[in-house]
Amino acid sequence: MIGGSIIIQVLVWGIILGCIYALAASGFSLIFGVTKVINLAHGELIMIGGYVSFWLAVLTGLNPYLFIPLAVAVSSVISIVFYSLGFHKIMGAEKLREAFLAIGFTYVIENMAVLMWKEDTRVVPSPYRQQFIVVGGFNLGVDQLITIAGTAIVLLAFFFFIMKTKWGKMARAVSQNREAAMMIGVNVVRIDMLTFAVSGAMAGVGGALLGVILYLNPYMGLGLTIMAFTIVVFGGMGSILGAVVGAIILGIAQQYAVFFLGGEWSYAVAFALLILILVLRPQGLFGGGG
Amino acid sequence: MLEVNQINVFYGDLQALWGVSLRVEEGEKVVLLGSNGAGKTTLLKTISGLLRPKSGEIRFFGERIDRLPPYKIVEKGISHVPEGRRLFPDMTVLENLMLGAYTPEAEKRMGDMLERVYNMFPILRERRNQLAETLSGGEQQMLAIGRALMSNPKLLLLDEPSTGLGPIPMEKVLNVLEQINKEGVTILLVEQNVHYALKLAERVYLLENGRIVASGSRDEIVKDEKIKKAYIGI
Repeated sequence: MIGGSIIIQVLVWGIILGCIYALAASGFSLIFGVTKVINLAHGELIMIGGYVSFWLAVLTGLNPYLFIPLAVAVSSVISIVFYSLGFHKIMGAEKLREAFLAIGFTYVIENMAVLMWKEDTRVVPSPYRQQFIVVGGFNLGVDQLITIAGTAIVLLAFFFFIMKTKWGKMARAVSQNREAAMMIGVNVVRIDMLTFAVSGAMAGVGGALLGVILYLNPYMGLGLTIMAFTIVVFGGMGSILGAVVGAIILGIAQQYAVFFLGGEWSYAVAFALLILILVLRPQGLFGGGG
Repeated sequence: MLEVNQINVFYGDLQALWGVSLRVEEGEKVVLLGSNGAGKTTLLKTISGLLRPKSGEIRFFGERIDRLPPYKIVEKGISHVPEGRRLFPDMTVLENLMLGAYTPEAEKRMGDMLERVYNMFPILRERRNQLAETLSGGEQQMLAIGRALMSNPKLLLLDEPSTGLGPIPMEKVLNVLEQINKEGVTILLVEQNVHYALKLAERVYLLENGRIVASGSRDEIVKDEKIKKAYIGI
């Protein structure tokens, strides 16, 4: 017998996985929207963010959440390097070049991670590991609550940045019409770089949170990239709201699939939903036009 | 103020402009006339830095600008109203205007510039919180011009503002251009509609197949037999 409470418990797990996905996918979507680059190395930034927080927490014995700003800084800097040394040089050329460049970055970062932290699976040590808060009759882990609250704060800050600040507005202008933005004096190179920096920062937060509630290994990046890409197509290319909603939906779907059908169904269900949406609504949930 | 000297511009292997030269003096209203595909848009895009000439040079107040990125050229005082208006459709009228004034100099004077544009186009003040895509064609053209004026340019480049506009909104646009010019902004207008072009122009350049084939004052051009035949249709 499966009780109603366990159904809701799985829903909560789904939302938590969806939070990590939302942080991954909104950055992926931002880069695509502004620069039209499909950054297949994006997942590596999440992995690196996780390891930075793991490494420093183990090294110092301090609370890993204290190191989120450092995870943000490192992932953001690496993202800027991806742009400056890579995508910036070949933007506007064929997409295939971008794909190969990103695969190159993926291997470099993966191997670096293996060299520094070995291939073992790691979990970021959290002091709240065995602590729960009872909410409406459910046990919620403190770490899980931190993940949900942290994601909500980061996404709200991100929406504020995009919708209300001067730099966010310039980024939206570039995404809506790059050439017109150039004509009215927007420094598009600087906006592109900022876009990579912001996406990297969000990936860094995602990694630091993920490392606590799930686990890390050096090869996890590509899987996260594929999920981010799937979510962005599912939610509608270029729509940040679509990326967030899509992330939560696919996170929940995957957790139910794992619970009812088994772990091997997790990706199968996510891609089945992607295929379904591509058939019914090719532009994605929140995608505009055709 | 603007000197284009012998520029050659390519799209890949395809040459679009052949040794094009052109001058615009401060305070003038110059029209570049030519049919579709003559290279008018290419020339404007090269002036505003979106395209690089393979050879030749472009000077603005004596300083070379043909190797500068577009935002630097805007900072120097050249603003470009693109063909088809190219607004930011999912942003409000006010956001579109403010985006035109994010260069360091213009940002300091944003309030004044906004006031100037609103006085020129009162309808934009009324619609400032509407999304740009909800405006009519004429209003969109006014917003495109207003957005370009927000950077307080010395030279305004306009690419086919008559596209998709009926005669009445277009007359309004021409009146506004006269007014902007009286306020000291030099105008380089690209048009294929001869009627509108000659209404505004003091001097005219004629571009055909990527080459300047004729130039002169408005009156000289009107009398030119070749031009009469090809463009005025009499």
